[in-house]
Amino acid sequence: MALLEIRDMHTSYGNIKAVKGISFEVDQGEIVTLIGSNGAGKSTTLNTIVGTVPIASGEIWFNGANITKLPCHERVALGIALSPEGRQVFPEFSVEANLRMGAYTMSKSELAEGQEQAYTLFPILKERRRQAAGTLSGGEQQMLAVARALMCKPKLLMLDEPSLGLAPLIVAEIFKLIRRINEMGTTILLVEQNARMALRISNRGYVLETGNIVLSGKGSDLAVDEKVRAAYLGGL
Amino acid sequence: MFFQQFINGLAVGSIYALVAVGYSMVYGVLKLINFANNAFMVAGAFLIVLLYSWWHVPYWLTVILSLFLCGAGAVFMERASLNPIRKKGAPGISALICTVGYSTVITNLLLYIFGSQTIAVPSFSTFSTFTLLGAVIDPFTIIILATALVMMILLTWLTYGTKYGEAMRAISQNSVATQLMGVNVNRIITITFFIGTVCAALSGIMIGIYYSAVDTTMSFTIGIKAFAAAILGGIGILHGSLVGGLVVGLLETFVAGYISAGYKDAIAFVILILVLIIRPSGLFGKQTQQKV
Repeated sequence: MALLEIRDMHTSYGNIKAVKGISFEVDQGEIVTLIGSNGAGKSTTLNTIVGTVPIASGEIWFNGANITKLPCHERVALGIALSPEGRQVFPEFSVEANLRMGAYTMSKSELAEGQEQAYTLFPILKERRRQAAGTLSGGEQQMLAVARALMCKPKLLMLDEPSLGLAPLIVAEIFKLIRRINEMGTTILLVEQNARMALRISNRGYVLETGNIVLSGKGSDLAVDEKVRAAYLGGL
Repeated sequence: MFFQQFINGLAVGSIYALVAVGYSMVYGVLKLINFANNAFMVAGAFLIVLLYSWWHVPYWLTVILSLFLCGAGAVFMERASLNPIRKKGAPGISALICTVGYSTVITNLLLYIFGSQTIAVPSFSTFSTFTLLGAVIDPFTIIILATALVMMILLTWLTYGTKYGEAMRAISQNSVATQLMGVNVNRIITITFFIGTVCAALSGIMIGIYYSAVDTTMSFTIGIKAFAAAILGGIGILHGSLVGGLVVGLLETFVAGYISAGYKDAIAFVILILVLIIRPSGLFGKQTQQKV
């Protein structure tokens, strides 16, 4: 049984149809990537799954339950977490307080545990734990956003453009960490423009174009697919 | 003379502070100035008249009902009007005008029920004044001071000592991200409106008892000074509202006592403007630059 199953999902902003009936699934333990250019509907897909953007039609199933009509906060409580595009950390809060917010639905002991884990995965955050998140560098903010999303011990972690605007070395580190989080048992749904890196660590991938899924397959197959190479991998 | 003015100023100032807290709580979460706050303030006092003087409900129950009804009114405003406006992504000014609308409707409703004349507000007890350091003190001023202090301590604890408070402060920074943390954002906003309005109504009741009178124009005369107090302290900051309220209260009492009672509001506001020129975001406000 798939952990997440999307059935014919449509999402619109007013008259603009951003996602036009996509269906896909993510199995327990996988890393799945959605790739596509700007405006293909990748972020909208993630936002609809977590519930910050309303669905127009279709169904979302998570862990065997239909969650289509649940509000965002209940979906998070069920184990879906999103590290949103542009990090969206709380700039006035310290690193510690940001992590505490991430554990809002958890108990005190789980908070302590989560913090421990976050500082092990991201030692730099421990050094900066009293610093306001707004004063961190881009890479550190990205790590904080991922760490914060992990605080609620999600079954499914969705990452929206975790490499955006970061230096190549930091990008490599972020991808290494994504793989490590996955090995620790968290299923991952990834949205990336950096398709090469994303496909390298993914089990499977879907290619989105103007709100439709045009191609799907194993990560390694997509990486060598002619059309994908031409469109998203710089034709190499 | 000085001590007398000081005590009176503190009492009036504490009342302003509580109304200012009503503005600040909502602003702190939504960056919205809730102009219905002052209408709920006078409604609090009018409900005492309605329930106690007209309907003879026990006094303690009257106070609880009055606070609850005002809070519920604000929750209705949020759920029925402000939330839908926000959901449609309307600019903040639309919500602000909406609260002005509610303010007008509420004060007109009060005019319709109670008329435009000043109405006596009953107290729960009669107090005999006593003299301290040459000042004549009404024991009720001590009750006002104590109430304001207790409310401030409670609210500060709620905002800075609990996870609900942390969620409130998170919403003000990034409401979508707060949702992603699993926070029921609408519920937190509703609670904030309720608490802020209860503070305003509570001070309305105390104003009514303190002056033994209420009329609908108080919504403007006192409301605007409380609003000024919130701005002076740095709107959105709780202890700022407390200090702002006390400063405005002391300022106007001293001006009334030493300079001119007739011009006290004008002079108090001139001083306010001068302070704001020097510290535009208020005494406790952070000077923030918007990053581009």
